[in-house]
Amino acid sequence: MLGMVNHALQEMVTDRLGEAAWESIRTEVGVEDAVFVIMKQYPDEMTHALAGAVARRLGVPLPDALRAFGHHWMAYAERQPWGKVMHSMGGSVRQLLPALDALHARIALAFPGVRMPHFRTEPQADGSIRVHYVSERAGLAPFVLGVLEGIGAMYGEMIEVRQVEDRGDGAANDVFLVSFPSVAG
Amino acid sequence: MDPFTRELLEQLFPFHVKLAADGTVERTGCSLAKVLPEVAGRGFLDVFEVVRPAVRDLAGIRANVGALVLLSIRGTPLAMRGQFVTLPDGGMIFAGSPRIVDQSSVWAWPVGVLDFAPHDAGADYAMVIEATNSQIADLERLLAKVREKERTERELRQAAEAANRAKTYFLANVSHEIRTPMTAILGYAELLGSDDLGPAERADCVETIRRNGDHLMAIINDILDLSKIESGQFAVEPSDTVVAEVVRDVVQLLQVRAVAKGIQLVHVVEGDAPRVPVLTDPVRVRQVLLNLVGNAVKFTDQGSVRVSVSAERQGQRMRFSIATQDTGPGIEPEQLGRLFQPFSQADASHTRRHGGTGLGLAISQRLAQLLGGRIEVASEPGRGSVFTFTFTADTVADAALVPETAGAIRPQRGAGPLSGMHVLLVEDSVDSQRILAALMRLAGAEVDVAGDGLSAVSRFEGSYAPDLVIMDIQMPVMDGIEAISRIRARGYRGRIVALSAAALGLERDRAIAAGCEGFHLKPISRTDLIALCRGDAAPPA
Repeated sequence: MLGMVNHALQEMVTDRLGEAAWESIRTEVGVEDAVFVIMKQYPDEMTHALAGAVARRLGVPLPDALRAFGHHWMAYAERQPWGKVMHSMGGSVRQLLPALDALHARIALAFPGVRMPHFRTEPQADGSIRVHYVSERAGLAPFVLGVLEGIGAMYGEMIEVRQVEDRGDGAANDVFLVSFPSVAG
Repeated sequence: MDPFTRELLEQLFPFHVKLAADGTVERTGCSLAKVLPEVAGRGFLDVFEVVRPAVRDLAGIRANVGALVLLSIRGTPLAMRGQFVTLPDGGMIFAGSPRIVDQSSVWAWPVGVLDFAPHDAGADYAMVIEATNSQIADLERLLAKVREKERTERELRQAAEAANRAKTYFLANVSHEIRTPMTAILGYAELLGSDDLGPAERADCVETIRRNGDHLMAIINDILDLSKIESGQFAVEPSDTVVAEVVRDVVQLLQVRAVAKGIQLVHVVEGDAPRVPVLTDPVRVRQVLLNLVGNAVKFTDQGSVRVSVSAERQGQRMRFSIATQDTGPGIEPEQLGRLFQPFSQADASHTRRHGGTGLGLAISQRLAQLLGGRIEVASEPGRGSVFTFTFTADTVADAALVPETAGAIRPQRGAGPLSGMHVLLVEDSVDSQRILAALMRLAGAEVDVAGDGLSAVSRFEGSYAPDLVIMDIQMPVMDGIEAISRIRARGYRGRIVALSAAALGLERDRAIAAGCEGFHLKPISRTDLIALCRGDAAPPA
C-alpha cells in the first residue's frame, strides 16, 4: 500500500484522538517510522494491522472504521496535489465515477510496481450508477463504500451508496449502487 | 475524409488540427475544440506558430512533414507537440497533443485527464509531476521533523550542560566556602593550644572560632533550606508580626557591617501602615530581608543602601513592599535572568570578590513565594540595584525585635622550626592571613602578607626574594595562577606553594603548570604548615 494511505490513517487518528493516541497505536503495531513517505510502498499487512488497531481504539467494528476512513481518505486526497488531477476528471459525482478507472490506470502505468484496483461503471435506467470494484486485495469493500460516500461529500451532492454484491458472499466482485435521491426522488 | 477515418482520428488524436489545401483550419479535434472553439476558416499560421522547426509559411510546413514539431497557440502559454501528415487532397493534419513538461504546463491547459487519448502519456506527466510535488512535500515534512528533533536535542543538551556546569561551580563554591571558615577554626583552635597567648588573645581566638563556626552553620543551613524548599517540606509559621520592626531589626543588625565598610545604611518607614500588626512568618521575612540587605551591603563599596518599607491596606489584608536600593556595581542584563536560579551566581569567576553559596537569592525568592509574594529586581551596571520584596498578610494584633557585634588579634613572634625563614603569604581572607601568619611567626619565620595576586607581584621588584611564597588561588583583583606566572616571569626562582580551598583537581594542575612547586588544600594544621614551609611535606593529591 502506498505510504499516503497510512499517512491518511495517521491523520484521521490524530485529528480525532490526538498525537498520543497515534503514538500508542504505532507502538502497538510495531511501526518504527514516525513519518510515512507518501510515494513509498509499504506492506499491506502493516496497513491492515494499523486499521485493526484504530478500530479497537475507536471502539467500533473494523468495517465501520474502514468506512469512516474512506470518508477521511477523500477529504485527505482532495488536499493533496492529486486533488487537482481528480478535479480535472470531473466536476460532479456523475463525471468522476466513470473516470475513476482511468485515474487509477494512469497512476498504475506512471508508477511501476503500484497495484491499483479497477473500476467499471454501469449507468442504470433510474439514473443511479452501479460501480464494480475489482481488486486483488480482499476486505476493503467497506473502505470503498466510504470513499464513494466521500466523493458525494466532496462535490456537496446528496447521494446514497449501498453494496449490492459482495465478494465475501461469493460474488465475482464487490458492486455498489450509487443513487441520487434528489434526481430519482 | 470518410466518417470512419474521421472518427478514428478523433479517438486517437483528440487534439489534432485538420488543414485545408490552402492552409486554413478546417476543424480541430474534440479536446482542442474546448480550447479553440471558433477557429475554422482562419489561417493555420494566424492561429498557431510553428516554433520548431522554425517555419513561416505553408511551403515550410510541407517541407517538414514527418518531422517532430513544436507548435504554440498564439496569444496563450499553450504548446503542442506532434507531426504533420499530408492527405491525398493536398490538405494536411497536425497529429499531436499538449506539451506537458512541468506543473505550470499541466494546469495551463483547461482540459481534464479524460480529454487525453488513453494511449497519450502526456496526462501521465501530470501524475508524475504531482507525485514529485508530493515527494518534495514529504521531504519537507521529514526535514521539519528532523530539524525539530535536532533543536529539541540541542536545547536539552545545552540545558543539561548548563545544569552540570552550574552544579560543578556550586560544588566548587560550597567546598571553598566551607574550607575557608574551617581553616580559621582549625588554625585558631591550634593557636589556642600555644603557651605564648595571653588572655585577650585567647578570647580573640575563641571569638574568631565562634564567628567562623556561625558562618559555616549559615552555609549548611542555606543548603538544607534550599533542599527542603525544593522538596516541598518547608512550611511557613505565621505569628503576630510588625513588619516595620522586622525591617528595623535587620537594618540594625547589618549596620555594623555597613559602618565597617564606610557606607551609609538607612531605612525609611513610609506612613503608619507598615506598623500595623499582621499575621505572617517573621522568621522568614527576616531571612529574606537579611539576604537582600546583606547583599546590598556586601556589594556596595561606596555610597549607601536605602531600605524603604511601605504598605497598603486591601480589606482585611495588608500588601507590603520593601525596597532595598544600593549604589553598588549593578548587574549585567544577561545575569539578571539567572539571578534567582539555584546553583548560579552572577559572577562565577575565580576572582569574584564576594563569598556566598549562590543560594541566598534562590532561597529568598522561594521564601517570598511561600509568603504569598515575590522579589523583583531592577538593575543597571554602574547605577546600582533595587530589589523589591512584596507580600501580603492578614491584619491582627502586636510584635517585637533584637541586635549584635565582632573583634581582632595581634600574633606574637618567637624562635622555632622556621627561624630565619622569610615567607610571603598571599591570601585574601583576613582570618586566614592572621592565623597562618601567626602560626609561621610563632615558628620563627618573618612573614610578609599580600591581600591579592597583584599586590604580591608588585613586591617582586628589585632584590625582593623571600625564601617561600604561599599562594592562595581564588582571590580578588588577580588570582593566584596569574600571580604565580607573573612572579616567575620576574625571575623569582624560590619556592612557591599553593594553599587553596578549591578542591577541584583542575586547580592543582593549573597551579603546577604556572610554576608552583606544591599544592596544599585548606584547612592546614600547624604541623603541616611548618612541614610545608620547610619543604618536608609531600604535596597532597
